[in-house]
Amino acid sequence: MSKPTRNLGEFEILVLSAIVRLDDNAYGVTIRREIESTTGRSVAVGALYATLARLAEKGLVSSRTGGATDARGGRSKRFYRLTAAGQSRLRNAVRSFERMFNGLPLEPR
Amino acid sequence: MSQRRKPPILAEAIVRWLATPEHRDALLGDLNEEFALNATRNRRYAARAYWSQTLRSLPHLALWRWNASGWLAFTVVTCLAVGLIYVWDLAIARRAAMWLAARPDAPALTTIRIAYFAVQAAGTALAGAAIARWTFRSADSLTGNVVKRLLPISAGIAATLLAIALVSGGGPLRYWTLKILLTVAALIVGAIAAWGLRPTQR
Repeated sequence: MSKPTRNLGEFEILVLSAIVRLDDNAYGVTIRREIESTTGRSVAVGALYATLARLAEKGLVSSRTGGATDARGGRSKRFYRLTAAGQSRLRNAVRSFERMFNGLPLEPR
Repeated sequence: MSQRRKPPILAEAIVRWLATPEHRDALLGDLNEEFALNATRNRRYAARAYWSQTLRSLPHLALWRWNASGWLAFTVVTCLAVGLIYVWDLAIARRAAMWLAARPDAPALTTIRIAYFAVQAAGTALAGAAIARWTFRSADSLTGNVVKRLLPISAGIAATLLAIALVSGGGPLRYWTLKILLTVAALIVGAIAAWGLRPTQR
């Protein structure tokens, strides 16, 4: 059950955005790679899974298991996708950032 | 996966131990997948990358595990209960005993001690009621709640009181034994009373 909670943190927004970008192929490895290649930021797998668990607890993402391979030592993948609440929270967060950044004089003077 | 391409045993054991059961498979599978990919190019680099991920993940996994197991909540509730018991002891019970002792017609020392323990037990019962209010789950029976939640917290409180007795130089063993037993009994009575008086519909 989702709880009324604080605003999304920066890393939470990155994780939610990566899941949206990856569509049906969003699991631990691909989410990490997506964040790392897009932002240049190195991500610890423990930080990612702790965040995913927190987002699931808030009802912002759901998950399903599948796709065990030999390369994974026979262990299954856990695929993530955004719930309706997750999509709404991400949209609100992005709009807040857009409003905040709008008109910022970021060019060097 | 061949023996040569197995990830570092110790690092894998650390992650397995710290990950929550629900996410263990996916987390280890992800690390394995990356290790297998890196090992096709350079096995040393693959092992180093696995260790790097494990070490960088340690604080996150440890905190996550701590939260998931409820130990943080247990520690907070135990500390709050000990604080409440001590504030009541200093602000109410001891003052009541001193007030009794200072009266011109002061009762015997044993009576004052009994009065002190009775007032202190009332405050401790309030702490028990607060614990029941915060931690008891309506999905469990009273016995289940007492066994799963109240008794571990009571043991934590008793251990804290014992530590305080040892650090503060003790005092008579009989006094502390009695105090700890009364504390646990009063906590249980307070919790049971709060459970009995809880609203049935929320």
